[in-house]
Amino acid sequence: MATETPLEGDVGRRRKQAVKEKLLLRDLALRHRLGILGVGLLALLPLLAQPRELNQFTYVLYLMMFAISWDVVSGYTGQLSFGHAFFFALGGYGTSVTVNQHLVPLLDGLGVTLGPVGTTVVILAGIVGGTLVAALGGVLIGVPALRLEGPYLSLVTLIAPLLLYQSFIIFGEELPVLAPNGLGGTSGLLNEPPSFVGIGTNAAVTVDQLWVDAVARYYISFLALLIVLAVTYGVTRSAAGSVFTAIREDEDAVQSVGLNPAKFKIFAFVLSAAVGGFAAAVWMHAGPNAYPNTENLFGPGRIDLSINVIVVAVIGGMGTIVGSLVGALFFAFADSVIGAFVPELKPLPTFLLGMVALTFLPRGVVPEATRFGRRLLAWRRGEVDSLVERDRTSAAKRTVDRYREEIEEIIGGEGR
Amino acid sequence: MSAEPETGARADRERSYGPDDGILVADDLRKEFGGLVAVDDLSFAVQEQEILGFIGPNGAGKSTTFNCVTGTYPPTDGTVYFKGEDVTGIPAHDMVKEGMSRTFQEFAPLEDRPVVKNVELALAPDELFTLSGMGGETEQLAREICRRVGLGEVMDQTPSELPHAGMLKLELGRAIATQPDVMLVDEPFAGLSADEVQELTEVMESLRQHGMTLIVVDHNMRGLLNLIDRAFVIQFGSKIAEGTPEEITDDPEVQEAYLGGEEI
Amino acid sequence: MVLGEIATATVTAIFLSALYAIIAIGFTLIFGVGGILNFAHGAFITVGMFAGFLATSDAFLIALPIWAGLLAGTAAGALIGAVTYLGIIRYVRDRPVTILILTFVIGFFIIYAIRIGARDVFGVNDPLAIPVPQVMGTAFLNDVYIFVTSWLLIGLLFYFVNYTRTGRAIIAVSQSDKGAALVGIDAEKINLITWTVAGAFAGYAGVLLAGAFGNGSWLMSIQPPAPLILSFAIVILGGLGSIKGSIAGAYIIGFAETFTVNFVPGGEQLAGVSSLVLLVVFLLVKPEGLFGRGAGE
Repeated sequence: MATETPLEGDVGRRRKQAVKEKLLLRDLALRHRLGILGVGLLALLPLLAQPRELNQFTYVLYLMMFAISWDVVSGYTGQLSFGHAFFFALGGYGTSVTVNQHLVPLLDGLGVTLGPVGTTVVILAGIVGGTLVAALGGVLIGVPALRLEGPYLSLVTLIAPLLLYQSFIIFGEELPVLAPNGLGGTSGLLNEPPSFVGIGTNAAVTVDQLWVDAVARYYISFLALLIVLAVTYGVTRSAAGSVFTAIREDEDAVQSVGLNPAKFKIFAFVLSAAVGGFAAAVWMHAGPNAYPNTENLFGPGRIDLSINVIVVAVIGGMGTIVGSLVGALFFAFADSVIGAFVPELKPLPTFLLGMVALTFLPRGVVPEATRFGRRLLAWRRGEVDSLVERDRTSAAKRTVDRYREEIEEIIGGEGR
Repeated sequence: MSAEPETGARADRERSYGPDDGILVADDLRKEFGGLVAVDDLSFAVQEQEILGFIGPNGAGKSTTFNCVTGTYPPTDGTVYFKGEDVTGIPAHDMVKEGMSRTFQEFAPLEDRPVVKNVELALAPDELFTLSGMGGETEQLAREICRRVGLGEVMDQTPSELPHAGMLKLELGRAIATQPDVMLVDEPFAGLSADEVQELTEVMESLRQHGMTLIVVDHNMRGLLNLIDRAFVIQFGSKIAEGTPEEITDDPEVQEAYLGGEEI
Repeated sequence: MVLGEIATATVTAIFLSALYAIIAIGFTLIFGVGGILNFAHGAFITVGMFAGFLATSDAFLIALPIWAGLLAGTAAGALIGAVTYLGIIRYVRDRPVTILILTFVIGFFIIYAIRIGARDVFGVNDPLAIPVPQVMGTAFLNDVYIFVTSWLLIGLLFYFVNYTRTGRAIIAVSQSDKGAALVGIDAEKINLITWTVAGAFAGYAGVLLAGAFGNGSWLMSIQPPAPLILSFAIVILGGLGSIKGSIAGAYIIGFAETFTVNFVPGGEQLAGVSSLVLLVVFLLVKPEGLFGRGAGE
């Protein structure tokens, strides 16, 4: 009784062909070429920068990854997270504990002396461990997200890192089985995890020059960013990405075409958590100032990092992935200007920047620039009509509308 | 084929059905909300490749029945068989995967994307890791479906730009894209001109020719006469008549049910 | 003996709940009228606390008595509420997600400003321990003071909302902006009043809270008893936006917490965080709360 549909024919072959064509980078839109140019420039940055500046910039790469992590779940599926540092902390502590409290003692006990390769393998295992712990955290938040709507979910995500912070204190001395030496309380884990490349002895590869150290850390971090970009870009540009945004629009519509929204929501949370956890884990072994402590992984006020990633993603443009890269550059620029003139006011100016962006540029820089660019190109082609572009509603606007509906449902109000 | 149509238009409430009496079978389906009985031990069977009209005055329990059948919510009691299997109470999205899809009377298109992308979503696999969509081949399929339901000219517009008939076609296109064997169409002709009714009738007839089974839900049979093979009339959650359109219009109980001014 | 303990705990719980009620009332009000879950509520409370500190310390010329501190806290809370509405919220009222993120960022902006101000401008050694005196000489009398004024103020608010013209306009706006506009009510003005009153309550509560707990902190909104989260818990428990419901919610949490701390083995660990536990359970089981809504009920 097979119903005849247009689906027949060799779909697999056409798909392969199409993917190949994409990979050949032919027919790329201008914005994609610009994107590739930008990533290329990032790759060349170490040629231009001093070691100290480079280290500062390496941190920006992590900020990009953290913001991407937020964007995957909040920008795409519209589930606003106010405590994304929860996942960063899980990843960062996850790898540190895995390496220093499990793998290294175990190998010591076996009498194994680790060479450069051995240490690298141990570090990689730690990163996998940290990523997995964070992904588990994603499940932990994703499951309540199935029942909670809008602001309530945001509240739970805000509480999660606060509770985690408390548990770092409660289990400061010892967390049975999981962390035999404890989580270090407010001051963090004093025992730093080994680096991939470092000046001291606590590294897989020891170097003796500052600039080599800085350049190596930069490229390892850059590699991590490329991995994160590849994974998140792949998912969000595949069919799964359109299901994410469809969830943001209307869960019932997703359900009515045979897709299970619950599955995709949890997946979005787990993916987001894994990406954030992975970034934080790599940071612990390759980043500048890579200390596994609460100040780094939650921010000095326990919640600043969570706010910063939102600010970054909002400035760049929610629901775009690329926006996070651009947003992080803006953020870092603003932050360094502030650092140069009024360091004592940190983090007020960057929060202010976020507030201004939210009020006056809610779509973000990248979508606005894309729109402007499209119009410009159309104008150059002489298509006067295209100047009046059909206004595809932005991610932010869509999330807004959905929340409005939910809030109206909650309070039963009308006409608000 | 079941012998049901031949028993005439009289209601036969004691009759119960087994899993193999049709491609879609409801047996003693019951749904209560609080103390209110919305569907009262309703049984029916839909045959392969038939076009069944599911008729009833407003508030008769049509929507509730099909919400139970398609898994929007589980029935209080009774069994739903689809292709010979018990599918009672499985979630809506799984029901779609089993091969039953539906259109909605209240349209909820995704306003953030053009018409063709709305259809494309229905082609997305329910899988997390997939290359699908990367190569643009699903977009080609979505375009093909849009053309088939008569949206060829407007598929790059946003849904908000569509006229009423266009929305109906979009709903149809989305349902078709899930590759259903049985399709439930909710009030397809409401607010359409005669030409538009004719156009949609042809689309649905051609779907049936391609092997699809259709259930058309409506509150009267106006416009359905050329389309449906058989009608099934309910009121207050129970069947009052069943038979060919001609039999139904002549049935005294049906006429009484519609005495309130509405025309069957 | 056990009876005596229960009686003591009950009294403690009644006092604690009164404090919790006054902490949450402003949050309820803003949600009830504008449909906004104000993530900056904790910051308003912190502002009140800090104003109370400034008035009662010798940061300015003279250290004033705590009564002046309460007044300063209330006024500062009202001011920050009004400024937040007029300066920001007003422009984004029709964009709930933006508001949600904005109140969140605004809240932390404010408390960071307080941290910086306390440390760099007013020379507070530890912004995590900002000294604010309690109102009465003894802990018991202080509790009684909190209990009495809390009920008095809530009673006044109740009267204001239900029996004055402005109050009725507030109810009208809470039910429907458009409807209210049709009968000539200026929703803009009503929202401003709501934010101001809510801020005043928060400011007053901030001074009381800091006094009762020994001192204030720039991070007090998320430190146990975490008034920001507490307010959410109370409002969700009591049904969103209903004043009566919030009072009920406050008492439920106050009692649950006191009795867990006193009678459950190891319960002391839960002091200040029981609201969190209740909140999470409640959000998952019955997100619509115990009571319905309606700002004036």
